[in-house]
Amino acid sequence: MEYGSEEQSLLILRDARLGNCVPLGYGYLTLAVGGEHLQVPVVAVGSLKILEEVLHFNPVDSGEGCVGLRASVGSDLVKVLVPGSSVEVITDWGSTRLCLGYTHRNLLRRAIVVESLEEGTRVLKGPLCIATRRDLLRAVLASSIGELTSSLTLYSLVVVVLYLPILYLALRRVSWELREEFRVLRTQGVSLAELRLGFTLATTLSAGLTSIYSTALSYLVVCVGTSLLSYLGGPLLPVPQLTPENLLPAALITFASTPLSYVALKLGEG
Amino acid sequence: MATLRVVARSLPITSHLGFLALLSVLALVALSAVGLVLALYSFYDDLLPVEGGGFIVSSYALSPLTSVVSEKRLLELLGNSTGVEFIVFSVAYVNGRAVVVRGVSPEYLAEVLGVSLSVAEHCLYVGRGLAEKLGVRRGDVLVLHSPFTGDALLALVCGIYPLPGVLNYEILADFDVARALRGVGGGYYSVAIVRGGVFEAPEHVELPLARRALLLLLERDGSTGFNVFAEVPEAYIARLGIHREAVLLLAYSAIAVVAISCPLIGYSVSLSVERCSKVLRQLGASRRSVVASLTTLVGIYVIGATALAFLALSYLRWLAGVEVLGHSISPKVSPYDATAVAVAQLVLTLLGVVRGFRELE
Repeated sequence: MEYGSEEQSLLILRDARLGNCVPLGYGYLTLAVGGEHLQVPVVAVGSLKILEEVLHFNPVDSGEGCVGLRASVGSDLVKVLVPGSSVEVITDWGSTRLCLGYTHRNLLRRAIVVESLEEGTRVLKGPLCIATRRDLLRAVLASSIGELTSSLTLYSLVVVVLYLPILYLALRRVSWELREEFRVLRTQGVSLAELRLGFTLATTLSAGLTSIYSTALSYLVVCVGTSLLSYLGGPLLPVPQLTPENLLPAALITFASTPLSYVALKLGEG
Repeated sequence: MATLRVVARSLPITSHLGFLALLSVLALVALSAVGLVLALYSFYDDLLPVEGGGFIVSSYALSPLTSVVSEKRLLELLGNSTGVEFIVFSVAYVNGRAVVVRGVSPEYLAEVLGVSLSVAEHCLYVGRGLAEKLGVRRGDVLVLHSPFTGDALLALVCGIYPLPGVLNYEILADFDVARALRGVGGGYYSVAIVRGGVFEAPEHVELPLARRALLLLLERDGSTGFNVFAEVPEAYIARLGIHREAVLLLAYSAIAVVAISCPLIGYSVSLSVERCSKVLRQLGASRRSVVASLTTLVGIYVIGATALAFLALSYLRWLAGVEVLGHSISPKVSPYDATAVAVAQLVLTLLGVVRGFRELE
């Protein structure tokens, strides 16, 4: 069984990021149908050929009376818009006509696809990307991960900051454990300043190495997990990149341990 | 009691506050982790509120987001349609975010939003909380991408409303829009809420509903077919896989932090009263009375710390909130959870106290 299909999907995005993208207009058109005004979702592309491969347009016998821009009706709109006929589009400048010469049924079923659109219709511009469904699913997963990381990054930083007093206690404990060694070194003539410098450097190095090691180990675990998931279920998630934001807690602990160990030793001397 | 008073007075007020602050931080970390796990596991209950009694009918699915029920079969089973409310849930990818779209009846929309029935159809109504996150306004055209069908659906935002509870972080739409996104045919819904009354299920009734989460029943051209989706991410999102794993990891790390830190704090308490306990021992106080007074002191710290953390999480809910499909989830903590966390913290801290005291002796 293969997970994450290669089936094609259409993404209308604010900026082009996925798949092969072409510029398009999208929005709502006001159509005059049977004496009533009807608002219908519309997607306007430069040429219907661009979407031929994805939407598989079915030509409808429209006869010679069908005038205006070529358009395709989504299968869900067939009940209200008769394929093969032409409809009047109300624009800011008056009206124009669309020839509903095609139908499509796979995607964009609730919209009409128009080959270019004249001025006066209110449509938004954006890229239309033809991507695989896997790309869409990956984007949805990335959004969920983004939601979590944005909330948890702040939380982890708060916890790290609040955890610094605990680090101070641990350093006090280390200095207390080493009190005998300090006493021996002092009797052998090592100055107090040298002892403080040595202790501060050693504990900073130790805190730095521990932080880097735990960050690297966590990153390795995530990479292995992602690779395993990709191997078992297809390439769904990209391997996460290690950003400076990820290294911030480790850096914070390392830099904070320098003054903390100095203070811990100084206060412990009493 | 006298020993406790001497031990407590031997420490400056800053030390008392320091230990209290340290234990409060740990209680906050532990309680928020427990609360987040509970909040996440009850996420689906919050999506389906049943006020004043009733029950929810869903298919044998991973979540309401993947459940499919047939209106015809359900009404046959119930015998009447009074008090039955249907909902169609879907997940949609909008403006770079995965959000929940809730398909409801035009009557419900008219009642909740106060709009006319004719306007309620073919429109999107966005909760204000979500609208702020998506940056949308009334009159915008939203493109909703369905991870279930792969299709893009264009719809007009007809209104932005401050809605109660979870609805404030959802898009409300009519059944047609939600079904198009979910990829199910007419007559099918995600769940049904049967209000009031007592449901007597006939024996040996097997609802021919979707047996698997990824099996969809579709009615097309008058015949019912099925479609098996082999998309793991769909199920993963629908059962909040990534969110649960992240929050569980947070809970594990909170447990590790508490397990390492509490004995360390207890040890420091013993060290800080070193001189006082030696004097007390020389004055004839028994070892047991000194340990008992230290235990009482630590107990007071832990109770105070847990109460502070509980109050902080109850009143400052943003402190440890996460987002799930556009919904802001705050930790759910009960006094029972707070007591459990306090007991664990007390035991671990006392281990450190005893160890420190033994070393001093």
